Amino acid sequence: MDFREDEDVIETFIEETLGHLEIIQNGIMFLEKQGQNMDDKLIHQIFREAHTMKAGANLLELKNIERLAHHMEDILDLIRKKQVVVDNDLVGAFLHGLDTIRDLLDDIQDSDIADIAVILQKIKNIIPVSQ
Amino acid sequence: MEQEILLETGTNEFEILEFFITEKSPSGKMIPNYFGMNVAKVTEVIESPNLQSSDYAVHPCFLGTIPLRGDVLPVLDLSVWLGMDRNKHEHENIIVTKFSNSMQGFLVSGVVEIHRLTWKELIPPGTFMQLMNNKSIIGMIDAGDHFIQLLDLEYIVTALNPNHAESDWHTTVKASNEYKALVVEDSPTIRKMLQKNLSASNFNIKMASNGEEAFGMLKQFLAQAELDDKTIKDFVDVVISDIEMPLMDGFTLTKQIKNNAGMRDLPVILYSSIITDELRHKGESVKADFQVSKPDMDIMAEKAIELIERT
Repeated sequence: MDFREDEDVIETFIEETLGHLEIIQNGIMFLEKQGQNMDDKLIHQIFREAHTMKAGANLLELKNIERLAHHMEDILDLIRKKQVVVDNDLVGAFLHGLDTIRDLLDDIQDSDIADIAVILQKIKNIIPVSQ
Repeated sequence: MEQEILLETGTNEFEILEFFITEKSPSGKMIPNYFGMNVAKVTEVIESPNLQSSDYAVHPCFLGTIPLRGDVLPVLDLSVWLGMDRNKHEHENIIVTKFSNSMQGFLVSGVVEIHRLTWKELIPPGTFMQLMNNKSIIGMIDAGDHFIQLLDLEYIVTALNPNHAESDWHTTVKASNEYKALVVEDSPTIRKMLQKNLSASNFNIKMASNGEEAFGMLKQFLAQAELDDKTIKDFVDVVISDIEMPLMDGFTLTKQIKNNAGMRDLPVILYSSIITDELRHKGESVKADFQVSKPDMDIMAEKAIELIERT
């Protein structure tokens, strides 16, 4: 089952994922602006985008993209539970994560051998120590 | 299959049988790939008697037939359909399915368990997913440490059996006015077909890919109707919906429509490949105006016209 060989599938996946990334990016920046009045529906929508992105990456066995999407989901879950604040640091790490996924999409065939240890650590650092 | 607690209708729930097909990875490891199928279509799971594909097979998926309580059951190799290199072993299973008046068995590596979920949890396939696996994924389910790909069995069986095809479906009836139908269906192939057939009967078609999208559209129509001092019937005359869809199923959609003061006069027709007595009963409990089983799709346009003109 190697769909990575199929150009159509890959092209469409890249297009769709870029769409998800766009919505997540706009969403997380909007959440930062909302401050104390974060819209639950918006958080849920961003979560759904990350969730769908994760499922797609899983299907195509793109492990690094899946891993990043999974971490973003975890953070969004913490945001939803109000266990973490959407401040400049969090948004910064998030945007870095989104950019990393864009880089991986650019060189998709080699996305799994790319070294994403730095960004993963950056995102993990956002998660409160008690987690 | 026996269930201790019956699934309620209109709660947006359904059950899947999770199974797996094992493949050898390039590094030599055995990797299970997890899939699901709707329990409503499954009659039983049996041990495979180790069929071998014959050179004379009509299709590379076809493994032959086995006797099953007086019937002859065709067995299909699901891994061949999915383009997988299945790692054969001794105790494989055949999942026996029945829908649209036909029975078939699917050979798989093994079964896991039954999950009860809501359609809301089903991640709808993006366009790229529909290009894969010969277009047989309805959606993905997140099971925590792995994903389950929910398969569209009807698509597979239809593709393998031309006699099963909906292309036989045609209507001669034509509406006297151009009626507006909202068609709710998650399979692009079936959407296209419904578009073609209903348009030929003089229907103007609007489409939605699932119940949630459809209800969103209806709410927008209703809002617009209220602004323009009209009714929803100025936008839609009839709702024609599949039952099994991601995010919101046909039963739940019907319930939402019938519970909404501004929408409840809209006739709703439900269709499915598995209109059994139990499902017919479920459709009645959410007050669907009519239910059609896949083999009888011919009467869809006729029935829609009848319901529209009756009110």
